[in-house]
Amino acid sequence: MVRVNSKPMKIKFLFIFLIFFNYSLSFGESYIKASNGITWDKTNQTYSAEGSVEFKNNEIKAFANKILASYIFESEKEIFQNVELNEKVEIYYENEVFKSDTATYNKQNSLIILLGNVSIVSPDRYLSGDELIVDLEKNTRTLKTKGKDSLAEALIKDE
Amino acid sequence: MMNNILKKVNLNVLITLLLLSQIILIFMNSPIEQISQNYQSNSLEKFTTMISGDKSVDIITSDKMVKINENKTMLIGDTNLKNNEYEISSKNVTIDTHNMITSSVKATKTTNNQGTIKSEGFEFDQEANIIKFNGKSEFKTNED
Repeated sequence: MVRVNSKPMKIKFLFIFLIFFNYSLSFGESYIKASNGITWDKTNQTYSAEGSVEFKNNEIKAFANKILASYIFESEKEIFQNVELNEKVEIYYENEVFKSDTATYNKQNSLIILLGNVSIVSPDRYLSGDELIVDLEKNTRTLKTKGKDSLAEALIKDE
Repeated sequence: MMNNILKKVNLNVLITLLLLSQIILIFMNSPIEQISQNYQSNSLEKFTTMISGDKSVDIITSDKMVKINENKTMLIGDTNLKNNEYEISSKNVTIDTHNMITSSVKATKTTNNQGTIKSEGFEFDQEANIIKFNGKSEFKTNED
């Protein structure tokens, strides 16, 4: 008979726990948190949130003073399609932070468009401009500044 | 002499009892309970109703239903509003049939196809088809 307290059993339990822990982390959680309430407009299929607002899904985490999230129905489930962020926008994606006055995040296209007082902050760079297009799928960043040529960069991910 | 003392004692006892009864009345009777007592004749305990609409059937359950007037109904205690789109659980819900607004200032939990919304109250404008979740609110979605 195998003893539960034996070392191999303990390792097995730890291994199983880690598998389940990793599985639950991989799904993460999606939410909208707001200090001044959330409004559900059923006719226009939107959720708007005001105050100190926080939005999180499996791709990004974002903060703003106002958020308008529109959704579509897919297999009888409501899925967020487009998220408009306004005032003091901060978007966190992996080790990058994008800041701007306004932003639009399109989940289907994995695209973030930021406008007004835009900046990108990461451990090895700080860039600022007027408009920033972040393509999460292609992993490219295109920064535009009035009167200057666009600065485009493609990030290479370590596999 | 003895009579005077007895009278004084009785008066003190009477004043104490009156003060105690006042304190009990103030602390034990919430405004909602006062309302419900005033409308005993128009109230129903463990109330459940089904309202058939154009698209769905609304089921309303509550600990107590009190009809305040022609346009206003209060659902006292634990209240549940359910249809095929969402389920709102709250307390002390007011239904204003004239302005078509259902609301509560108590903690509210709403479940719909997309997730669960917790808020400090709600206001449902039936005409505009808009539900406002008031105060500090959190919407946890079921998205993968």
